Formats: sequence, structure tokens, C-alpha cells
Amino acid sequence: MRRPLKAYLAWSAAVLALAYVVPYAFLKGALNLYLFWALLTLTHYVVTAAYVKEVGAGD
Amino acid sequence: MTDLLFWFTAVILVYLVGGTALAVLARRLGVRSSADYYVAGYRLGGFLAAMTYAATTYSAFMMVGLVGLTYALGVSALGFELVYLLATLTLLSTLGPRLWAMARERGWVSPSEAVVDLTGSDSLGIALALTYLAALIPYTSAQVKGIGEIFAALGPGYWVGVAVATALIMLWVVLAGVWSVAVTDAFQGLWMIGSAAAFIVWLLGFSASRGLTPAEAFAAVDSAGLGSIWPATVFIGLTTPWAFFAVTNPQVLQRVFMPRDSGALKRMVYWFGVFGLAYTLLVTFAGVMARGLTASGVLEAIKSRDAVTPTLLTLAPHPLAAVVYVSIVAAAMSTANSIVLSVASSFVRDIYERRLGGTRPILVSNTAVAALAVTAAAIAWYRPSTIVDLSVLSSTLLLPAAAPTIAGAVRPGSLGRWGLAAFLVGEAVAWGGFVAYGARANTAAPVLGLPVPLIALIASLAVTLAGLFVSRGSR
Repeated sequence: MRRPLKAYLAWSAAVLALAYVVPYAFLKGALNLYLFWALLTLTHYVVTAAYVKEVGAGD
Repeated sequence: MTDLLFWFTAVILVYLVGGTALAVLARRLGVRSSADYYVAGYRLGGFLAAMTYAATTYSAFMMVGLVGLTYALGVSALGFELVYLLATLTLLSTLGPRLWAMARERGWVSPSEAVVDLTGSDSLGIALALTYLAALIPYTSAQVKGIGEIFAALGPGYWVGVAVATALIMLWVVLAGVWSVAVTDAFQGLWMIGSAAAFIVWLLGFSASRGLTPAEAFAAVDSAGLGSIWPATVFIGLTTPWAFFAVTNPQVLQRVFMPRDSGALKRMVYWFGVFGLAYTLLVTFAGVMARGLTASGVLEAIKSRDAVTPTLLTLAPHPLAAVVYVSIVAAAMSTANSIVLSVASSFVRDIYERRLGGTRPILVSNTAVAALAVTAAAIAWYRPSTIVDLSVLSSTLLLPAAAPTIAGAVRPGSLGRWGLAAFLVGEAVAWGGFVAYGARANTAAPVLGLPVPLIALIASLAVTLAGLFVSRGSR
């Protein structure tokens, strides 16, 4: 498995874990939860777009 | 005729004429083979690919169900929907390129054909095609039923909505197969996101005029006791099937085959991500604002989740309300016709063309599409309660395909009969949950506190891993 793919998969697994764990462990309040999930997804989108641009999508 | 019915009639005529004109134009792109009909001859541009992926994925559930879910149960509804998006972006970026390349090399047209090729199990293709029917025709019926209910609420009547939906499903598919579906999906996707944005702009202004700020609306969600994440069993039970939606649901798996080159595939991922994030944030924000309007006394408490959006729309200007209602019709339509087309492909391609050697795939495809659309409409017409339960559980019933499909994408052809076994074990759990708990199966936790979908996934994953282990040993 190529190194960028490994790194992206590790990043994705961490993001998914955070999406589940942080709200149970640390977060209360509707606004905090809304902002947390929104920013986490936005960050993952930016990383995904960068990954796809550089190494993904059939190259 | 009421003012709202006048505007709804005018706006839906614009939608019907605009969509049909685009579908007719799509005929110029040429449909001569089943590959043209079902996967656009692998020639879809990036923007069209993204919009058809988004419009197919996001159904009427978003503007009706998710707004209501946020209102009734808090912003965990956003987490539920964004876990889907996080997982889908990952699957599209990692497995997507591999599946896209293999589809061209091996000439995949139907999603079950792809899974057969990936796992090396012919029988799995038949089992999948039957499961698509059992899980997705009720889901399509639920979309048709939703359109019927909008028509009933606004005046023309339930049967008019069911008839319009059924006729459109057939027309927009038969005109040019997936080409007409893709261009109408793009039209409908832009309508969905545009109307959601306009709805939120109006909602912010309306709320401000009543002295309600977004911060106060979020505080109202907290005051209603909805400021924490749902219990783990519920959150995991609901998110697990959706996290694997991209590889288990045929109508989206098939869309990965379609982009014309790697650049188009990249643009599909970019634009789908933008659409998904924006649309999800908009509709859940509407639910939060509705909760704030209830807390501030502008709205009475809304008891039915599905009534939250219609209640908000009673306060909106009628032209805007009509545009949003038609966006719900568009969301239901774009999901329904894509599913019908995809399910038809599994039978026409896998059985008629490959097993029976049929030579008239377009004629047979149009017949299959009409038969499936009429079946979905007939079910929607009679509205049996089991259909609602099955449509809620559709993603769980398809979940057991996830592990063998992913394993097959990583090590093609290595599973053989183990692929079928993995799928059937997971199906046994999913159907067992359905028989025991009905629509509550997604959140029921009968073993070790684990929800049914997670048990189904673990069971099919265990058999898949055993298959990989055995196949590695035998080589």
C-alpha cells in the first residue's frame, strides 16, 4: 500500500473516531456539537480534496 | 384555488417542463447499448457525475425527515448525517478510483455484476439482486408516497401525486436512460440546494423579526434537554448502515463507474462534498431555528417530526413555500428514478444479457423500469405499514454487502463462496432484527448492548475475514 494512501486512511480513521468519541467524552451543548461536527467535516473535506488532487482518483 | 395551490401549480409546471426538456435534450447523447443506458457509456462529466451522485443520495428525507429529527431530537441529527458524509468521502477517495478503473477494464454495467466480479461469487449476484428488490422498492415507494402526501396536503390529492411521480420516473428514465436521469438530477440538485439556501435566508429574517437569534435557537435546543449526543446504541445503530452506503447501495455504487476520466472522478468527489456539507448544514439549521421559534412562542410545539417543515412553510411567502415543496418532490424523484434504473440494471444485465444472451437490452430495460415504477406506485397507493418499516431499514438490509465488496475491491476474486456466506450471515441478522423489532431494529440492542446493524456488520466481516484467510492459505 502506498504511503499517501496509508496516511489518508489513518487520518480518515482518526476523524471518524473523533466524530464518535469527542461528543461523548468532552462536548455538551447544541451549538458546540453543531460547530464541532461541521468543522470536523470541513477539515476532512479539505484534506480529502488535497489527497484526491495530489494522488487519488485513478492516478 | 388557494394562493399556495396556485403557486405550487405554477412552480411544479416549471419543474416538470424544465426537467422534461432537459431529458429530451439528453437523447442527443445517444443510447445504443446497456452500457450507454445504465452507465452513460463511461462518459459522464465531473459536474454531472457529482450532481447525480448528490441528488440520488439525498432524498426527501433531508428537507422533511432531517429537519424534523433535529427539531425533535437535537443536533445529533447533524452528527448522524455528517458521519455518512465523512465515511463516503473516504470511500470515494480510496476505493472509488479502483472501482472506477476496474469498471472500464471489465465492462461493469450493473452494481451486482461488479460485486460478482470483485468477490468471485456468481450466486452473490442473484442474492444481491433479490435484496435490492426487497430493500429498495419499498424505499422507492416511500419516495412516491411522500410526493403523494405533498399533493394531498396542498390540494390536488394523493392519487394525483402518485400518478405524477410514477409517470415522471418512467418518462425521465425511458427518454435516455441514465443520461436523462443525470441531467435531470443536476437540475433537481441545483433546485434542492438553491431552495434550501433561500429557505434559510428567509427563516433567518423571519426569526430576527420575531426577536430570535441563531444563538438563542441553539440555547432553546439545550433548554429542551436536547443538547447532548444521543445514547451510544442509538447513534451507532443509526450511523453504521449509512457509513457504508457508498458501497452497499447500488444506485450510488454504479455512479462511481460513470465519470469519463480521472479528472471527472476527482471533480465528482469535490462537488459532491461541497453539496453534501452545505445541504446538511442548511437543513439541520432549519430544525434548530424551528425549535427556537417554538421556545419563543412563535410556533406551537410540533408533535409530528414530519410536520416541522410544512409548519415552517405555513409562515413563509407562498412563492417560496411552493419552491421548497417542489424541492422536496425533486429530492424524492431524483432518488426514486435512480434506484429504479439501478435495480433494473441488475436484472437486465445479469440475467437477460449475460445468462439468457438477450439482444434487445434497451427494450427490455424500458419494460423493466416501467414494471418497477408501477410496482413502487402500487405499493405507495396501498400504503401497507410493513413498507414504511422496510424503507427505514433498507440501508441495514444492504449493509451485509459492505465487507465482501470492500474485501473484493482490495483483493479481487479472492472470496468465492465466502462472499456469499458473508452476505447471507449478515442478512440473517438484519432480517432477524426486522422480524423481531420492525422499524426499531436499527436501534435495538439484543446482544451485548450492540445494535442490530453493528451485529450484522460484525457477522459478515468475520466471515469475510475467514474467507480471506482461507483463500490466502490455499494459494
